[in-house]
Amino acid sequence: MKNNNDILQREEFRQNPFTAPEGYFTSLEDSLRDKVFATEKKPAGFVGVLKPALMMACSFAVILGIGYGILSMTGGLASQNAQMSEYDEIAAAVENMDPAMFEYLDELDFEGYQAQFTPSEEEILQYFATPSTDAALYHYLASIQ
Amino acid sequence: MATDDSRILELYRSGERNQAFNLLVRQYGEQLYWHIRKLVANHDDANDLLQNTYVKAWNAMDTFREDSKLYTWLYRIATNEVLTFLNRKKIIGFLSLNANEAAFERKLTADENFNGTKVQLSLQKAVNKLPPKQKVVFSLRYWEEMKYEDMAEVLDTSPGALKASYHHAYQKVVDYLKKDLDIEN
Repeated sequence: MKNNNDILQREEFRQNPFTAPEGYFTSLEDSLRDKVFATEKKPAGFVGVLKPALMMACSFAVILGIGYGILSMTGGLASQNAQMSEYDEIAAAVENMDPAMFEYLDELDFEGYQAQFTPSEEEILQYFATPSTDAALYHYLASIQ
Repeated sequence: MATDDSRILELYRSGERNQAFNLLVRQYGEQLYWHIRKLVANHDDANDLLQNTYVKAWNAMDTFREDSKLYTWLYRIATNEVLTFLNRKKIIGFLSLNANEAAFERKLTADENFNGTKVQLSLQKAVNKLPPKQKVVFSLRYWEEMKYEDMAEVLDTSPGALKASYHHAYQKVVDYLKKDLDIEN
């Protein structure tokens, strides 16, 4: 490197061209001490040691609070459970229906039946007034076919 | 120097913090100031960065485990401060029209704490054009004549990589000087 680039070997380049303001180094100790001790970290006390754990506990409490608030405003878990149990009830009722009922419904000629079906007002009222079970519906449909 | 380092740590650990601090500044203050100053050129910037270096070093004294020398540890903190400063300045430079070479020269020649000759000014301009980390490598090796092993501790890089980096920086500086000072081989 030296052979080809002797220019940087000149003493002039190695000399320091900068100066510091007068008296800067004599007052350096004091000025640095003022700055450093003013910003010195204080040793953590009892609260300081517990601070991270307290902050974490507070965060959990806030998250739980927000979650509870949202659930309360939207009707909560109870309403969701109620909706679920209603759904489960219908599903269970469908599952417990007589399979013959489905076979019968498959065989029915609904379009032809609808064309012929002209129930009177009294018959409609009676139909809605009768507690219907799948068996009752089966017998009713069989009687009017 | 190692004896002084032991004394500083001994004083600090025995609770003689004022004495430890005074010795830390007396031992390394001026040296660190010139290390920073040669990299940032401006006195006020160098003073701010030196203060930040001492604040960080003092607040981390408890964590110093003597795996490295106190002086390389302090240089490492100072160098990180300088690199952060130079990188920030570089980003601002992209956004500013005044951060070009001519502006650097104007600022330096107007500085009452710069007494350089024409060739020294040219060298400052050449070094100022280097990327921040290469600038540090050049400064530590060329002006401070620091050993590559110590530089490796300061910059957390292998001595081999530092040698290569110094070689590149040196070549760039020489090329710039030849052109700027109109010197033939």
